[in-house]
Amino acid sequence: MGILSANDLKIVTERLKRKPNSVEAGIFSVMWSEHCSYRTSRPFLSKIFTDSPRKLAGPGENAGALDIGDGYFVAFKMESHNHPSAIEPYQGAATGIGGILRDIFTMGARPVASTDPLRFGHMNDPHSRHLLEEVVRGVSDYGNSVGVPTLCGETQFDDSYGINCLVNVFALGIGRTDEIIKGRASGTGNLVLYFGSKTGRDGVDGAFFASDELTEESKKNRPSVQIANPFQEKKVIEACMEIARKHLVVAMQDMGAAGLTSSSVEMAERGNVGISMDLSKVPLRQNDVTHYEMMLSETQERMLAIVEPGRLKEITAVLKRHEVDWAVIGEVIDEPALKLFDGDGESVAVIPLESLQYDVPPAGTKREKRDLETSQADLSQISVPSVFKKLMASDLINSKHWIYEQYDSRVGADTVRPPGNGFSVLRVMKTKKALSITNLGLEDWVQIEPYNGGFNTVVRSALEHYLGGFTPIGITDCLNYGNPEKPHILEQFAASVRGMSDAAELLSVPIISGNVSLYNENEKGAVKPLLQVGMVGLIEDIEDISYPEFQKSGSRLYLLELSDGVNSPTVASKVLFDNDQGAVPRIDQNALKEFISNMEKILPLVSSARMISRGGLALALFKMCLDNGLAFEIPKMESGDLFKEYGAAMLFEIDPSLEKKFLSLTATLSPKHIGSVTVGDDIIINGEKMKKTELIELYSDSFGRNFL
Amino acid sequence: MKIGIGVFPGSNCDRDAMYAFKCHGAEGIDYIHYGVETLSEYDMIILPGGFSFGDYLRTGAIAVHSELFSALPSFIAGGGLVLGVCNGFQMLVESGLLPGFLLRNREHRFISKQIHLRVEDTDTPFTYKYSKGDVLRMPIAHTTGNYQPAGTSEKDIRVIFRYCDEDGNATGEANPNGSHDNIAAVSDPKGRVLGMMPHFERVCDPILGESGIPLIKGILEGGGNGNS
Repeated sequence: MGILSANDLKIVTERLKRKPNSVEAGIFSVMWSEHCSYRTSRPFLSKIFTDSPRKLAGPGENAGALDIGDGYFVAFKMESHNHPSAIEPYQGAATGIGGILRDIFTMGARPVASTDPLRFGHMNDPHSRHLLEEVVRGVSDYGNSVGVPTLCGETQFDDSYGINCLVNVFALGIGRTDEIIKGRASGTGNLVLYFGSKTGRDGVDGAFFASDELTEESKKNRPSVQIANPFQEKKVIEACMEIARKHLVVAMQDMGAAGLTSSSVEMAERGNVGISMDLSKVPLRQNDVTHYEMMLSETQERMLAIVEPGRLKEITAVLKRHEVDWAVIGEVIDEPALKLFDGDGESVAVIPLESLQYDVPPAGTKREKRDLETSQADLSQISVPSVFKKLMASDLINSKHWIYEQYDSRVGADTVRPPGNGFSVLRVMKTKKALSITNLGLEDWVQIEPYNGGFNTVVRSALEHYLGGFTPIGITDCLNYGNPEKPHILEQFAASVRGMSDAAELLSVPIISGNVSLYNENEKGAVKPLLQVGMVGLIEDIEDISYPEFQKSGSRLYLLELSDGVNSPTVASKVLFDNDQGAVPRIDQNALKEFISNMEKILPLVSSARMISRGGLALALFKMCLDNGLAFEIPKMESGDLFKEYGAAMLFEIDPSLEKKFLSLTATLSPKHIGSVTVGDDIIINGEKMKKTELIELYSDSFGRNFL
Repeated sequence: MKIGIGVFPGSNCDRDAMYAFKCHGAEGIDYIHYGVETLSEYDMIILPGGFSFGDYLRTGAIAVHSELFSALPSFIAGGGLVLGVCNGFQMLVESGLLPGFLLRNREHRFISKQIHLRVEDTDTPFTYKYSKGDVLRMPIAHTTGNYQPAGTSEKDIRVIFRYCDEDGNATGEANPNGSHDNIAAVSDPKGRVLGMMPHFERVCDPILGESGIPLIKGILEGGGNGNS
């Protein structure tokens, strides 16, 4: 049960000048929960970089929205569903997808893509396997049913996620700029229209429970996990698309965390008006739902809209056609307050919106920097072919097709590049444009050096878009950390968010939406801090996309570094020595700026290009010849350098006839010649031969073996 | 050629089918609500993919009790064409308009991937633009696509497409879902009602792939055996 702390109760009593009744106390407790109020993270989030001339909606709206020209906008956002997924993985993941999709279509944008960055304990642990299988099934059942393709994603493993798995969900929608809907109530006398599922007891106090550590006791919170109904969502999506097209609402918001309470309060707050609701009108699934439960229920697939009385007939006709239930449950009032009453006029709650202001004491304010051991494993003596094979077989590297083949990645007929190899691409129907999507989180790096880890995550993501020919236009983040009341956790959070924001500002890519998930912690400690960046890029002409795959035998290969990678933490040292330490690479900001400003001249000379990411240069080279008849030869390279990981380093394939021009344009960045593209099945490194097909077999088949 | 795309609550490939046909110049094409009483104005009905009525019971089990389905037998008897894709194929089998059964996939999981198909029968108004033995690359996306003829004499089943490898061999390895004899699509004896699991409508332009184009063009041009 959500209850107010003694201190919060004191503040409420002072602000109301009386003691709250139980419904009011419940409303305060969820609205001030970490999940809804961001009471601890708000001071840090208020400073992040959000500027963009494209911006139509930023943080604080249901989702961020950017103008992409030709009369269209994109809306996107990322959220976490960590706590519910840890105790009820199937429903937790499914409702996570449902919730993030509603944030998108509530703005009048048709959801056209979702992605899932996931973190679990290692797959030799049966509980982690169970969590993964059920989470994937949840995403699959929900995403496939509603007809939204599930794209790139990112799945990684670490012991710290064994109990607290992390389930982040990203969604993107496309709408017409003249049909965008915001969550801003206005117009005294306008109606409050409820539609979608009937309210039950599921998910009561969900937001409250998502703001706590997981303990043995948490399993008792299973009733706090919501139940998914993708069929209902699909009907609601189609109804909302028609509502947007016909401009039938003044404002709209889905009932997400803290359900009816947060949707009504937030729409009223944004519009500086009040809302009065008759709780006897709320559609119920069962008769004995109390007022308290009605206000705090998190039953899924419910929407709240503000409608002019004159449009009611039209909108309810739309809802009827789509077989969606509805009820008028209240109206907009002048006085900025939430007023609830029961059918006969009896008052249930009266809360001036001012009293709900979120300037309540945060859970933690103390910060403490912790320096971690940074002695990195020595990779100089290893045998290259044997490490290559170990990496291919490792879950930290191998192909996750076992996961993404359970997701319909092509429904909607817009998927140009499905999941499996770097960024995903989606076309924008009726235009020549396309969008790129990446997901990246570097938890090992953020753990060691939060600021630099956050900075690197954004730079690496942005370069991936640039290399594909896209311009990154916006970021949504999902920030997953432990208990912020612990000073070193709050420091991790604050510093990494600052790093992310500084990089976003340097590259002029605004952070337009996001989500914070704290208290990802159990008796054994906190999770590795996951700063997950979802980045979206835009290209004007779909024909100009460049994919990170080798084009032609005989090409010369160059490595261009914009950061140092001395002693960086690497996947190779994790796999070989179980060592996740090292020094986080520092990005050379001047070199980065120089590269970006010359990119328009450099990239047309390049046959293909790829960011160096997990697994270092070795993996980048391998992935560039996954799906073609090509291979590569690296005549001489230190084994450590092959598996080293960089903040910002790129691999370029250059046609020999363009080599001179490329070198003169990039002279100040000193690219290194490392080898060449070959044809056939032989990968040759330092004279040692490996069969590509053998590596591909390991890469493709290893992950699925966990589930035989 | 007047085409209607049946829309059930939970259909999700209806828009994709509309896009695919419009791409190739279809003019008389629109959506039909499942509650429609008569289909007499149409020449062809498409039953699109998706999860009709949520498919919480059995795939297609509720859709086949709709008014649209009540109108289908006389529509077919009058010479109308019917094309069911994925969920649409499931409905056709559930209703008995096509023989056999669709079970859950061999691995009991949803499968979304690119597969290869071999064209087995070109003597239909849907497939006459292909050549027998052509190998097509198309995506599949389903949990219930494991076709079994159980109880039906095999000579009564007209197999239109089979799953195969990229060289056209219908091997066990190339069978994604456990279907009997690698069957991916079947038709009624006259070849006028076609059910297929692969999504031809997702491969009908130069960007996404073109192997579905002959099927669409064939339908729009109205040729092939059985058309008067």
